[in-house]
Amino acid sequence: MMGQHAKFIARTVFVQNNDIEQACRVINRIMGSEGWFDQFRRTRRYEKPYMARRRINFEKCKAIYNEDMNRKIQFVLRANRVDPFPGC
Amino acid sequence: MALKNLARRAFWSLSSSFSRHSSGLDARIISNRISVNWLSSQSDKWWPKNQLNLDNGTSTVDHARRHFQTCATRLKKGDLSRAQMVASMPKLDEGTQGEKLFDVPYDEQTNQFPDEGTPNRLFDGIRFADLPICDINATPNNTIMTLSNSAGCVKIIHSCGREGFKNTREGTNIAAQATGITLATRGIGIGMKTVRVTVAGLGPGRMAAIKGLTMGGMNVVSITDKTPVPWVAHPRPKKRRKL
Repeated sequence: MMGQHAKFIARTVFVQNNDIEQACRVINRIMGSEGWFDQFRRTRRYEKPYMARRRINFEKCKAIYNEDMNRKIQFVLRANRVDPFPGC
Repeated sequence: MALKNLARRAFWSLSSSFSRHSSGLDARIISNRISVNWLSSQSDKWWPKNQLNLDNGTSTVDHARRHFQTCATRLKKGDLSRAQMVASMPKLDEGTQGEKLFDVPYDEQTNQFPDEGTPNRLFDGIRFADLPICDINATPNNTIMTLSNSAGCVKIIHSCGREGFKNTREGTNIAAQATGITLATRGIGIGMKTVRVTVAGLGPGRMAAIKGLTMGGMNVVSITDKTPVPWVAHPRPKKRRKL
């Protein structure tokens, strides 16, 4: 699957100031947040259909909950103030 | 406490022969007594330290500790000492430090990511597209590293096993770092000083190998991730391990 992507263009990070730890962290963070590692771990062992359905339903419920919670948080954090950073 | 006293009273009050006309409560106490005797033979196997204590510690009778659950699988699930043991074991190292990190700063002005001009960009006088490649295959049990030229022709292969680590010790970050150092030394020996790195797999050697390369004196220019991530599990992987 990864072979389909442009070599050394996709999933690539340059090392700056010889700081390879930082570069590693950047690439791990991006790939982790995009779900590549979770998918990789899931495919190490076979996930039975009933387990897959359970997981997907759980993820759907979690997404709904998170959406509602974030809406609530944004609502509660509203404030009637003059914009301190106009134009940004 | 009350239950235990009731059980004791019932035991001593009833005769050795069990009467058919005894009350339902007595019948229940007799059956519990039988199961407790069986449990006592198993108690040293099953009794975890922090299960619910049904006596207040003042009993002088050496009786079996009675569990709330009688089914073994349910007992195991509620076993806090096992959970504590599992939690105290060292975390599995997959070399993905930074995966869950949210405060990694990234400066948008510096060119951290490749663009259309990247293949022609010079690093130490060499075009990026002409730089040699170091492939790192980081599996849970080993780390294999290869150095090849820009065309992909492999020049040097090195692994934790060849480095001298055997069996479980191959699958560690220390082994990967040592392998990286040796490979860097050999690579510099054949003229590959500046290199671009490709990493595949999630294992302890994922980050440690690159660190070893830089410790060995190689100039790592970029890190690419080449982990094969199948979105369709084909061929079908093995079934899950039962722990």
